[in-house]
Amino acid sequence: MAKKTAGAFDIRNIIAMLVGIYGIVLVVMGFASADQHELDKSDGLNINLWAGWAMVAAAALLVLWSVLRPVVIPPEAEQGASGAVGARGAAEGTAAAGAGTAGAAAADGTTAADGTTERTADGVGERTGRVDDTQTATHGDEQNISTSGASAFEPGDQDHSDEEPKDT
Amino acid sequence: MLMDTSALRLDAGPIDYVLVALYFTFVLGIGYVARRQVSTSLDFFLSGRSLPAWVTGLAFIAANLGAVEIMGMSANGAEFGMATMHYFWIGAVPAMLFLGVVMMPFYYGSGVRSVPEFMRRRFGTGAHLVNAISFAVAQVLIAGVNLYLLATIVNVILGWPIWVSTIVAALIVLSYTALGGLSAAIYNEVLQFFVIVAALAPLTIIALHKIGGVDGLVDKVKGSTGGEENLKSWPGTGLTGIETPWLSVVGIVFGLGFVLSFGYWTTNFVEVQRAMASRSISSARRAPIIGAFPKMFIPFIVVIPGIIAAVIVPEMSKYKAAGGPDGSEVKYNYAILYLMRDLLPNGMLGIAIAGLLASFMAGMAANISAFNTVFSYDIWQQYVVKDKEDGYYLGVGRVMTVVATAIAIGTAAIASGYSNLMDYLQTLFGFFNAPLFATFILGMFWKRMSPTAGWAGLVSGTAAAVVVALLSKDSLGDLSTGALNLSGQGASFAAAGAAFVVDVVVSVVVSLMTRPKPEKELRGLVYSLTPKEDFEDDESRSLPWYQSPVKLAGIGLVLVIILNVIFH
Repeated sequence: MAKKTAGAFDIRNIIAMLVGIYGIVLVVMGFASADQHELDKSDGLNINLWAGWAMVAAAALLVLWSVLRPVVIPPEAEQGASGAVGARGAAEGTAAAGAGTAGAAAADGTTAADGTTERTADGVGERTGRVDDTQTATHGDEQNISTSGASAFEPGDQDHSDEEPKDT
Repeated sequence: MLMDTSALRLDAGPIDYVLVALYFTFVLGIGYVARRQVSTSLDFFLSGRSLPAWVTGLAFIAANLGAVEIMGMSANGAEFGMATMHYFWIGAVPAMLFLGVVMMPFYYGSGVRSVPEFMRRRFGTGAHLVNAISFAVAQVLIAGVNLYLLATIVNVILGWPIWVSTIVAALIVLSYTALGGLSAAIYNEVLQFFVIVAALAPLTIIALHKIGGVDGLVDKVKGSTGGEENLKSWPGTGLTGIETPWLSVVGIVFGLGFVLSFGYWTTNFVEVQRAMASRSISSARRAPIIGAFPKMFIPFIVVIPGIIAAVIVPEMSKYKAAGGPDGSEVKYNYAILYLMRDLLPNGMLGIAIAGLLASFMAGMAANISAFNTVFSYDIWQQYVVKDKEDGYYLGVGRVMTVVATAIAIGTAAIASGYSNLMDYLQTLFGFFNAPLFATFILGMFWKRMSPTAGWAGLVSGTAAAVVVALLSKDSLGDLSTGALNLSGQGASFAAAGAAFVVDVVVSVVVSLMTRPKPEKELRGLVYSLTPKEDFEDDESRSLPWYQSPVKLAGIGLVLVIILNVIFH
């Protein structure tokens, strides 16, 4: 099964798009309209140009990050709404989740990089999970949180986007 | 109260407007995309508890990086100099680390959906009502204050009428929070964080360049009104208004660093809600800890520009030399705006304006999304209409978003007429915050603490803070009697300290006289009654060091101590 990634709707790419456009506009402004008045204003520093390059670089890094560690959308993501009880149960389920299939996989960076997804959506307080595309996990009550995966830029299973050392 | 501030009108050109408009296109686009994932109330109120820690961590600090923070902290920088760093290194980072290490497991592990809900499970409805109602009221009013600040800034720099910018800004925040709920608010906060940094970092660099680098900064500040005092963060007597140096240090460490900041960062649902949206218990714990790292460095692009502005902007340095007289057109609050006017060419100017507007909206959206969660779950579902299907509460949340925005517009209108009143209201809400931390931390670690003690401690702690404020010189304006020789920040540190001590004493005394909750109801809520497994999952047991909340927090603590030593 082909993995469907969030692509352009990954929040990192959205930010990169905005910052990248800002950067390009500034670089163009820096080259085009750096007359003496503007330069004097910013103390002889062509700030548009330099800030523009910095923003382009930042955008490129964000894109690189999202390419290296893409968000993979679980195919079963489309699901219906749920009742309050289900949602509540899910919340508590997260808490009680001690054992489960997903936790171990998620903790393992290499497995996770293959697109492991981890869910905490289970009304009975049990963690369900699935590894790669096998979809073998049990779903006691699928109706609630999993819907969050339906969003294109839901990072529901970028298990380690927060594991990037550079975050810190 | 709006003076002729046309001297501050920024020279925004068409390209600047295009850059600002582009930002708003992205903001609304995120709201629209986030809508697709909202189908339950938990999705709407807690983002389905599915976000990675770097997202919730950045949102955690962006939610706080609002108008008050950026304008206020650069103003403090201009007025007090390096002592302002305490608000970040003493007044935020330790509390954020503490939240991640100690308190988050209780919040996330017990499965509650809001901070007041934790209060209800631990102490029953008395403390819950006090907490939920004071929080909800405070949030809508603060949202209004944020909105008003935004409108005045837009008025000052672009010349738009106040009411136009109030309504436009409110509609923008409303449309994305009502559509996408917390996810839209959080994703936008992450975007806002980047835009704010993109705006302020170049401004800081260019200001430093202008003043002659770090050496120039040191020389010029020494020769300015503030003098060498402004280059030192300790003992911060100027900031606290406490003349005795060692008392000033005590005020900063205990008042600001312990009571005020722990009360704010660990119990304020605006912040905690962001971490609670994380997808696992270890992500939730990491969120505030990850947020603490950028938080340490934000003052360099907020406070430093303020310090520089007080030296190189002629109006500002004259104003400071005159001791910051009331009624002057110049205000410390405008420090960043003056720098933008003097230093930024078109292009960069547009991004800086977008960054400022971003920060204002971040604050307001955070207040509104926290408000509608507490209102829907803690007030409506708990006391008014119980046991309806989930879709009903999702609807309530959406309606309340609209209502809260409408109230915020009304508050903004009131604020424009009575700005002092708003200041005092904010001071009052600070009093509600101060005793919360005492009640939470006692409740989490002392199983004997009884439900009666829960609300009694809160009420008496708040009362103690109000009494101190009334006895101080100026905390509550004309109402303050001046019996205590305390003013400004020192007074609020003292009020918070009193609230904490009284809360603890009353809670202990009342607990010993009343019946505690049965122990079996306290699992997940009290440390000694919660099995360790409840606070961890398989993921959290095998994390590498750079993902372990405790180790990360240790690194953060060392870093913040180093910063304090370097910039003492």
